[in-house]
Amino acid sequence: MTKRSKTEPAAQTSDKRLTRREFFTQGAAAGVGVVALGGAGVASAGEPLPTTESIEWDYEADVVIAGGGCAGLTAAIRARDLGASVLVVDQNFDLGGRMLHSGSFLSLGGGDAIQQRDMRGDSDPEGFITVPPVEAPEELDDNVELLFTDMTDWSIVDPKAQSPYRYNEREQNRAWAENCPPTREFLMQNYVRFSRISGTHGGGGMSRARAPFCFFKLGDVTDIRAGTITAEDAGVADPERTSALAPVKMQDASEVVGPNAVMNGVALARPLEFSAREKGVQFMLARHFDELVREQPSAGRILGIKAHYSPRMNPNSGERLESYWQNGNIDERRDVVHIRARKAVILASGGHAGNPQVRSMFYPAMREPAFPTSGFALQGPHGQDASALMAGLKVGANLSGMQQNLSYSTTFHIATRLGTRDAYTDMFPGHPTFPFRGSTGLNVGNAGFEELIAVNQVGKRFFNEVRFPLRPGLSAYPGGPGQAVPNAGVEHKPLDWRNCRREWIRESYNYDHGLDAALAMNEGSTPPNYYSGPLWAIFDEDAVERTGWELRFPYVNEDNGYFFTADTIGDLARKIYQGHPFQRVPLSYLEDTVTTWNSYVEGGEDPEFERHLEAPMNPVARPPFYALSIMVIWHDSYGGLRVNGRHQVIDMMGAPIPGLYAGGEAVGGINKHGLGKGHVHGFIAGTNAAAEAAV
Amino acid sequence: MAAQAQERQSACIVSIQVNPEGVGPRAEELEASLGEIDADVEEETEAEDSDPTEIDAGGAVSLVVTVVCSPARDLRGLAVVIRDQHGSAVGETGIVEFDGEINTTSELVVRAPLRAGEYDWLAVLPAHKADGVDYEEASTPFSIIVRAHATSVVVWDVPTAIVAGEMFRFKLGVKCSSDCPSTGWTFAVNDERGEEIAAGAFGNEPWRGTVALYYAEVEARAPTEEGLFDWTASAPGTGSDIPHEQRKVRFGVRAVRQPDCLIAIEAVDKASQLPIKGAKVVVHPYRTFTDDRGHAEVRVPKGAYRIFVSGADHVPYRAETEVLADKSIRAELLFDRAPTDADLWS
Repeated sequence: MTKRSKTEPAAQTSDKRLTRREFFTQGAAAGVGVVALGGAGVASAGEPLPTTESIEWDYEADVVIAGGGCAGLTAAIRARDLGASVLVVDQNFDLGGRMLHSGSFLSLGGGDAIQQRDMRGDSDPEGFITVPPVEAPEELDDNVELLFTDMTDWSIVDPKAQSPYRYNEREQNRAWAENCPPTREFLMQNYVRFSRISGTHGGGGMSRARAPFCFFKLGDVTDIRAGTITAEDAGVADPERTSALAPVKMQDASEVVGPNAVMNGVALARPLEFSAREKGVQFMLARHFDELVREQPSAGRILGIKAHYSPRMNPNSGERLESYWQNGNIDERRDVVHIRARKAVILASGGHAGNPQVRSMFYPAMREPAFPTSGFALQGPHGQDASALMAGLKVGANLSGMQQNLSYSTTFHIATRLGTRDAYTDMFPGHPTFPFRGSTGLNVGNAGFEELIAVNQVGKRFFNEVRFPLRPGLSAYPGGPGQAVPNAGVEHKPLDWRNCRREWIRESYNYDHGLDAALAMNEGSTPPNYYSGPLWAIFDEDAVERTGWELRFPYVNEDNGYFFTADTIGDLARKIYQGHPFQRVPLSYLEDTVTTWNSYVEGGEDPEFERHLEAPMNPVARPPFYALSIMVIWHDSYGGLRVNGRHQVIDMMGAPIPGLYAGGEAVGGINKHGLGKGHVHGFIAGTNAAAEAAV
Repeated sequence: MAAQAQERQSACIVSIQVNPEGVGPRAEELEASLGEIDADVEEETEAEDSDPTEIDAGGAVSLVVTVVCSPARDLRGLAVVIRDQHGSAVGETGIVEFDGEINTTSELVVRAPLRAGEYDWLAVLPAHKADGVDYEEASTPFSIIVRAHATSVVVWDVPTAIVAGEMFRFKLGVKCSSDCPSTGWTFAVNDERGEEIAAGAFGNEPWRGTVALYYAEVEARAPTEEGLFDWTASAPGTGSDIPHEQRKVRFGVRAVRQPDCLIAIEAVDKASQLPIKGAKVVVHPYRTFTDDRGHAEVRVPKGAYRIFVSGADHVPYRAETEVLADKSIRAELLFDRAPTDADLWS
């Protein structure tokens, strides 16, 4: 049997029309629009950096931003508020980046406006919030000094024995702490509504509660200004559909807002996008940021960027995907354009979690391309591809915090959602990127792993399944022993050597290395990369009857290569080999593995992994038999370009690169998970970029 | 498998793709459905197998022939003949595509021989004349290995604990690699000493949810001694002209003492104290589920047991206990809340 390659990228032919349309200028303030210039930039990717004299600029703006996610959109609005013309390029067809399908748990603090509101027990201006504060006033009593202390606390060691705060860049984190309160105000001024604060996100400090969610109120119309959204747009009207507005179903926010409120990143990303478009920020979507243009290769000012056309086509219809809103879009379809920045370029095009070659510097086993970054269907093949990192290095930028990928305990983890390549979120049909994943997946939870056996690419078990998906706790308020901090809540003592006393760490260590066993080399690993290969959950019809798992579309899809069913285990192995795009070798051991496992069940003992000590074991015996993919997810990334407190990119000699700023996952030096990092970075970078003198 | 022809002083080279029918299109559909996908696995999956293609006896073989001439020539309208080991034509397929260099035939599906073995066949482009030029016959040999159909034997629904010497029932199925209907095929069950203790024929319908797993319900008597015994099941007789490999499968039969104690389980959610219905109760080797009230009963012989109550989205409850008389256990299970997107994805 010949195994055919199944990984040919779908053709994404550029639209060959070279028409340059007038860009949309609705809402732009007079005199500060993006300017389209004559000439066609024709440099090709991979060529040496062009000399600045040879470049024919196609567009120019005061501030040019690579990336329209949490850092990029915030920077764009901020710079626009300060009078700059702003052009944002984004590789995807729509804005929002990861933020759009995030949970919106936005941890800032330092005494920000929401902490103060909840301390007073006030509601929001519209009165949407009807529940009392979740946190007591003393848990919200915060200030910049305490926040900065938390962000650089050397004494915190997490349950994986990593130190999440110790290695943070001090100047950058000082600026971050100081700008948290004004960033919170800024977001609120741009239609973002915050729920009650409930704890703090990982990397956001151990001393105080600092994180609310972003919400909408369900209503008859979707009105960003009014803060309402229809059930259809929120993806809650139909249990098996999401919407073009909200790729991931919005979640119930009754505990932190009140009845009929929903929350997630849609209530953050869409308001910011709406506001940016309203204020005249312009966008060139389907445009991948490739390179920076500097006066000299490693000297002088950053003059602009080079970007290539990166449309996404519906894999079924072949039609180009279009953004949810269109106003402010520049419809530019040439292969390559050069865009001049009169004041500055801001790099906000994300991190490197989607680039297996880059992320492998932290964990060589994660060079395995079978495991994408979370949300890959939404973000597309260029999402989180290290574009900022690579471009920065080309012009002499320094790096920071590169080891911190290992300091956030859930950066890469096993997903409990099975049967889809995009295993982090639960996107349903309704969003235009659903076809790229083909199935929603089945979230079986940690408990679901006792119903199956997990095997590697050759069909061998490799770990105790019930421990396999468990994740260590995060270092975040309210902490306590579960997060490996001796004292919980406001009793926590920052900078206390007892937090990392050797005896305490021994006691609090709580990490199972199932992920590492999953990534281990096996009989199917071959040089030079020694990929560990895909992982499979194998179970039988009895498991389906026990659990009620719904093995049907859209949860699973027999045509997307991540779910298989067969009459026998041997047939199942053959189907997986034939049908999964990353199954490079036959699952030669699967039949023997199942036979051996069933003998363990009969004997009541798992001599290989001692599973019998922790959970019941179930035979895999009753046909038909099933296989669901198990995914290792590299979630977000840490480490990136080094920036100073103004978010200027710093070169190898310690000097700022003139005209170049960066934020979000593009930068290193702050082991802060999620949105709180990116928004504040964008706020700082947007502020300072707009203040640059135009050249 | 790709076989390259030896050029016989003609200007054309014939090559052929041989696959079991149905292999190719599946892969192409997958490409289309996935759309964007990382390309860098390509290099590792593209290597082609140079061994002869293996086909089930009597199975469908998909053949696609390509012809390249020098100088390039459009051969559409001509046909390629497939000849078997005796030189007899087994099929013919027309050239339907020409891309400026390569001529490609439509797919020809033929049946493999019924006897197992290696067969040397030939794809022949007959001599022809085009534009005043004579072209000699061009051909390429290729081999197919015809194998006996593999069979799989599956045993399920064997009770996990059977009182020694008592009758019990289980299911036994057989599946052919080419989905041959297995109705009437015979089976045999042998005990730990190798003695046949049950035999019969498979039924008329595949087991529910399967394509071609034909099954029978078997009744047998458990060993009279306590213990875990290795039994085997096989499907020795097919009654088919097509050769089938025989397969034997081992399964365990556990004979136990007569139970004399009752363990009454009550499963509740630790936080709400509400009963958990459908929770799995495992007191190895005994198994059951809780009812709507969260109750379950397990009858066991006196002894030491590890009790698990689990499932239904809860962290397993575990207790080690010595059972010397009837006893009741209240199992309080922690709800296993999976992390939400909001927990982590912010």
